[in-house]
Amino acid sequence: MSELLKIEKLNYSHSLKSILRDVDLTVDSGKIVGLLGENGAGKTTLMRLITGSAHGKGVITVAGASKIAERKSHVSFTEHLGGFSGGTKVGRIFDFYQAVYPDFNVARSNSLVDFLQIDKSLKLSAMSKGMKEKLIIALTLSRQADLYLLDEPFGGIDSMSRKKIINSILKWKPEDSTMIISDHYVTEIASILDEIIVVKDKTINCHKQADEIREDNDMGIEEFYESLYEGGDQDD
Amino acid sequence: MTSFGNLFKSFFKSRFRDMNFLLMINLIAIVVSIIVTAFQGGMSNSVPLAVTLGWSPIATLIAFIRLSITQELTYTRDSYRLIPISDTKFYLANLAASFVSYLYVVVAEAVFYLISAIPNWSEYMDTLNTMSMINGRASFDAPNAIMGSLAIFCLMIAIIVLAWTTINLIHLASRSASNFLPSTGRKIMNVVIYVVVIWLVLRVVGFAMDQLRNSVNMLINANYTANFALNIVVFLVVAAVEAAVSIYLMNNWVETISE
Repeated sequence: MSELLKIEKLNYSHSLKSILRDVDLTVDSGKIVGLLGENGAGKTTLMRLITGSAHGKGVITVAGASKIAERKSHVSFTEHLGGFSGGTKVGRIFDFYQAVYPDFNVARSNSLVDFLQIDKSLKLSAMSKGMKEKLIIALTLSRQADLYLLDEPFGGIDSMSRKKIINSILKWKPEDSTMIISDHYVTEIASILDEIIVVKDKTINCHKQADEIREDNDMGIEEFYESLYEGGDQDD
Repeated sequence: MTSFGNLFKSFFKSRFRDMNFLLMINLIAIVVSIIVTAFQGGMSNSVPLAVTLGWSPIATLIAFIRLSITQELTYTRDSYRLIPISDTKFYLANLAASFVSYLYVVVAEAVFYLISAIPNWSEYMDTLNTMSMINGRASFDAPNAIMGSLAIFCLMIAIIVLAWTTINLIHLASRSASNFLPSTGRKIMNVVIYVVVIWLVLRVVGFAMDQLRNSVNMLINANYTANFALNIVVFLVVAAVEAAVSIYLMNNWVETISE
């Protein structure tokens, strides 16, 4: 297991407002990490800084690459398809991904399309929110990346499908890659997490192993997470 | 990393589809207009070209606006900006894809002109000969006219490139500035930008129209060629400087729209 993601002294402000301050973080390869925090805590911003979609001050290194263009080749992020018009057919989006991402894995993509029951002949505008979320998950996981950033990926998905996807995450994640998932359904993803990172007060408030929380604190991940907001356990 | 060629092809593919749709609508409009004119009893040999000349500026203007919107959207959406490629190659692939798509529309329109001119070809040649004689030549000088047309074409291309690099620069500069301004400041800045853009557009259009007016002389007089070449070079140098500043902004300040 090696160091995959390293963030040093990261600061980010937007519209004269400080969003993240003095963020230091190291994540190893081969992990599934839960990125937790309240709405507006800066989880999405942190992911956008890692992908290079936002520009902060500090150093971010992914798989040894710190230049934005190189970093992008190691990161697969759940982007919300805002660049495609409603009339774009799903099949065309897959073709586009295949053409522009050298690490796009066609076999994996086909398996994901079958598993998530995605109809490639549909237009984007004809898809429900849940179907669109499934499409985003399929596109993100179709790449053979070192780091997957899933930003609230299960938002509009029904509970049955959500559980099905969460339970199959291990199947889709390449062994050496790391997956960072930000989600509000903490209980549902808790069972697959190796670590949790909590963003609070504009910085990384807590970075712990999931087993450590269960054994040392004798509580579930959701319970532990909630305790941070009740003025409870705030070590690390 | 993604290669320039792959990115260009992907950008071009979707824009090519867009432009084909636009040309199809253009063609339908031309055919319908000709049929309507025929039913109204106003049909003559000159009607096809007149109708084509009427619809063509609208089609090319819509193509320009459509490509400009697509281009600007590409700079600020994660769907494109997450692609692992340097900002320089990204910028150039985006600009080149729009440029080639527009060129395709212009060539298609030229083909429409030629086809619609066929029914009245001899009369148009007579008109050109008369124009040449008025300017002191024995007859219409085809090689000179081709050179002149090529020069106008090059000037038009240079104006298009400059227009896009200017739009890019204004858009990317305003996106960069918005990182540092509170929401009220952003609104004021947008108003200032709109005023500057309108002023700039009027100036550029005025200058371009002057050049195009002069270009009519080039069809019959080769002396204008040198001035034209100089104007094209100046346009392209300004475009290159604007492109360099835009790439710098993309590299350091421009953020995608958070969805």
